[in-house]
Amino acid sequence: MPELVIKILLTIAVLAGLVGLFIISYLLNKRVPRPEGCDHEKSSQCTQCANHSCHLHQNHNQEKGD
Amino acid sequence: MGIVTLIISAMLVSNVVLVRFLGICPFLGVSKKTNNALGLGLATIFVVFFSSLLSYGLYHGVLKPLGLEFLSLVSFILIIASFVQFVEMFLKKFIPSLYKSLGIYLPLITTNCIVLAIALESIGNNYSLLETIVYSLSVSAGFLIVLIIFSVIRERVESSNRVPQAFKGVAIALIITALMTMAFFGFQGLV
Repeated sequence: MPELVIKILLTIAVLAGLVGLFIISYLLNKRVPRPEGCDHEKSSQCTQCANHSCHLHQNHNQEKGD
Repeated sequence: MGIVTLIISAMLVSNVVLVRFLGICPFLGVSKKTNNALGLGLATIFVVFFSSLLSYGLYHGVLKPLGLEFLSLVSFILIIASFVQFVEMFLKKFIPSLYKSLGIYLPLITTNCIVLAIALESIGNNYSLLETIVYSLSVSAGFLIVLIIFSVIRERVESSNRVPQAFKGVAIALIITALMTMAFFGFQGLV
C-alpha cells in the first residue's frame, strides 16, 4: 500500500514538474518581443493548410464575420 | 540492426510520410513552394533530433528508474512542446533572421506527429543512445527528401497549366503522393 501511494505521489510530482516547465517556457517565450518585421502571427496571412479555425489562417476572421 | 541498415530503413524503405503515413498535414500543407518545404524540413530535423534526445534522457533518467514508464506519452508531449517554446525564444532573441524565415512553421512543428512518433518508437524499440540519434536524423532526413521532391513536382505541375479543373489543388497533390508512394515501394527489397 505505501508503495502505491509513493508511486502516485511520484507520478503527480513528475507531471507537475513537466507542466510547470511548459508553463515557464510559454511565459518566457511570451515575454521575449518579436524582432522587427516578424509579425506573421498577428497578420494572419497563412494559407498553408485548410484549417480555417486556426488563428493564423487568412480566412479565420472572415468566417467569424469580423 | 546495423547502423547503415537502420539509416536506409528509416529514410527510404519505411519512409515516414509515404509508407507510414505520418506527418501528412505539413506534407500537403507546406509543399506549395520549395523554399518553404526546405525551411520546414530543416526545422523539423532540428526539433526531432533534440526532442528525441530529451525524451531518451527523460525516459532512461527519470521515468524508468522510478517505474513510471506509463507516463511516457504525456511526458514526451510536454517535453516537445516546451522544447519548441525554448527554441522559438532562442531564435527570437539571438537569430532573428532564421526566426523570420521559419515563420509560422516553427510553432506548427509542435503538432507534427513525426516528432512524437520518433520519441516513442526509440523507446519502444529499445534503441541505444547512438541508435536513437541515427534513427531520429534518418527519419527526419527522409521527411525532408520527400517534402522537397513533392514540392518540386507540385511547382512544375502548377506552372504547366495542363491539369484539368477537377484535378486542381488537393486532388492532383494526392495523385502525385500515390505515385510517389508506389515509387518508394521499390525500396522494399533493399533491406
